[in-house]
Amino acid sequence: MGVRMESGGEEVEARELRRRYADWRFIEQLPPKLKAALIYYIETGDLRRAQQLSGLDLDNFRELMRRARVPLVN
Amino acid sequence: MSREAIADSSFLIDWSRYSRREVLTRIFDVVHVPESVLREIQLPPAIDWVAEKLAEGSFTLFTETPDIEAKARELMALSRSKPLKAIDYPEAVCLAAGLRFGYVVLSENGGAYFAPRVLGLGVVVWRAFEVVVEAWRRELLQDLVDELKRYEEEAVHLFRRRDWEYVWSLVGRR
Repeated sequence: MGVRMESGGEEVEARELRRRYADWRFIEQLPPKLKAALIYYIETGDLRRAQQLSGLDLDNFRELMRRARVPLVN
Repeated sequence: MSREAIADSSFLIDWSRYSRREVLTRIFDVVHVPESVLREIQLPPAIDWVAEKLAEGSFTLFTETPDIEAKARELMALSRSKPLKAIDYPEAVCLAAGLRFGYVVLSENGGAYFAPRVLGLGVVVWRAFEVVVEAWRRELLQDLVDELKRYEEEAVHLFRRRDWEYVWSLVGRR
């Protein structure tokens, strides 16, 4: 995905953490828009763009992340 | 370090879940909350906690003035031309106010956190990590490692290896 990174090594580490902790079974069962937004966050760490993709406000998107066990890493 | 801070939604939403969240108002005399940030906070525990703090006066509402709005939009535009995660209006307001008034900016937004380095801004941005470390330095919290792990668990948040390495260097000195 064409997201801009701060530091290659640190971004790889953060992405691995998000992938490892995520509840993929939960994510797979979500409606396509929410699933895409969560996967975008897992892969890029860009909270704002992921939230905008989801169509939710930030508070509800963060709640969705919690339900999907996707940690915030920055 | 300024005794005043300004917080964005990403910080308040996560920090409100931390059971030791009250240390924030012992570090800062006042935490400003922009109107645009308040509009984004919808759910408990964040909305209840922010309302409680506004009522008791340890948080105060920050109204965006035209010069702050203009600076915020300038920062948003600048961020799009740099290798930086997205900065939206509410966190841009916090950065603009931090620049203008010297407030410590509280944010979990990766774009806002890296903005001082990438955009060369003279503003201090703290995540929960820096707040917990500062609370520990002031002996408001006892065990730094336990507190950071507690925060990770309660907020569903993970700190990176570089943060933990910094913690080990601090703890080793005590």
